[in-house]
Amino acid sequence: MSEHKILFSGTTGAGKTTAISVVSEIPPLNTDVRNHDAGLAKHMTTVGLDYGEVTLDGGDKLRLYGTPGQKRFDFMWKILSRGALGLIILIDNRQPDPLADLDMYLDGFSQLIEDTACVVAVGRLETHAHPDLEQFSAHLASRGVLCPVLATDVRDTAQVLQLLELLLLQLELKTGDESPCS
Amino acid sequence: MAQADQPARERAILKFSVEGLPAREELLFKSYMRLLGHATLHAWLYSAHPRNVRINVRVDLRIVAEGLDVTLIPQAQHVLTLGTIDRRRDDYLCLPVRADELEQALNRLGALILSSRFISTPLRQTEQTISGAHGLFNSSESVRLLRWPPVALLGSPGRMRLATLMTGQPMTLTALQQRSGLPAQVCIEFVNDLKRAGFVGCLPTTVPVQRPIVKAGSAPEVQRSLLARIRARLGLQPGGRS
Repeated sequence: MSEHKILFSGTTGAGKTTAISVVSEIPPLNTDVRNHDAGLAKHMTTVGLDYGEVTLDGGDKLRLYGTPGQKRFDFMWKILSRGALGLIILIDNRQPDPLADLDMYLDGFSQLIEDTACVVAVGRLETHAHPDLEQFSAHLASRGVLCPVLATDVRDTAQVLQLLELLLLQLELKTGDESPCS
Repeated sequence: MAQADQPARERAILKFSVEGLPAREELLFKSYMRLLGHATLHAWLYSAHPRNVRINVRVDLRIVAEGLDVTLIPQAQHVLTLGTIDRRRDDYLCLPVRADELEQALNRLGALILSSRFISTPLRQTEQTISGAHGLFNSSESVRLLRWPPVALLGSPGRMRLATLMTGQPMTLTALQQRSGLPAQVCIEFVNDLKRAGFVGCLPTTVPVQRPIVKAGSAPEVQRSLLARIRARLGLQPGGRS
């Protein structure tokens, strides 16, 4: 039985725990504790990681990891990146500088993004319209990253599945005989 | 300086009329349109409209005041209604108009208008027209996204899939169609919209691309099998090509 994993990373409060919970077949395991960081507007925050899983045909496990959002846990990002199929970055647009947040994850997961696939999901655009998706796209282009960027409400299962669908599409492009020109 | 590095953008020119607004509002609205002229994905050209809405004037978008009887509009045209109630519809804007909302609406409607033009044209004629007359779609080219396109051009899950497929290596229309599982016409329309907006780069497909030989049980094959099982388990439609 093999194990495979997809990572969800991004800003604290962006909804990594929620995104995993709507897809996982087990109640997600997390290491949420009471938040004492005055800079974060939430009661609980993840200090370790979130974990969910999906059993595939044949018994293989697809493991869904939510990395801790804060920069001080970036040592875990590289550990979790090893062998991962791809990355979904969740951005909380309520944060003071969402583009800087995006930069942090692009830097922290640069090798994984280059080797596999990435999708950027921006949350709370309906209440915090700036930066808009256009600015995120331009910013990614300026960093040499070309990947899907979309507004997402991670409470909606269909929208989380769409993120995974776009991730899989990119991964399929990278597999062997998928010659681009036929 | 940054713009010098950008590919030249060939914007489609679309005509609009303004009907039923008080003179002052109409003047203000047209000023907005001029101000936004440099930013929108399409070039919008004002076309004066006669007072009688029954008179058939060929414009691409009719901007009308709420309350105007649009059933009198004699042909299937795109309409953007301006009113005072926040109706949250794609074809409605609340006064006073906000520049960002107007820009988004124009980009969205512009893409729709261009799409509907092609849909109403038979496929072969569409291909000939857009490759011959406007130098857009060309079946001998491979295309690749230069950057992720704006929301206005990504109006459906299908378009989102197409854009994602175009983030990889340059791809021909045939490959794009096979991989996406979408009709050729949908692919053509999307590529043309992207081309007009300057979001794709094109390469002539003259040199055959060498395909790696995949042996049974090799890593790519295992990977494809894994991805297919993930899709199946999550209830996602199969990849367009196996």
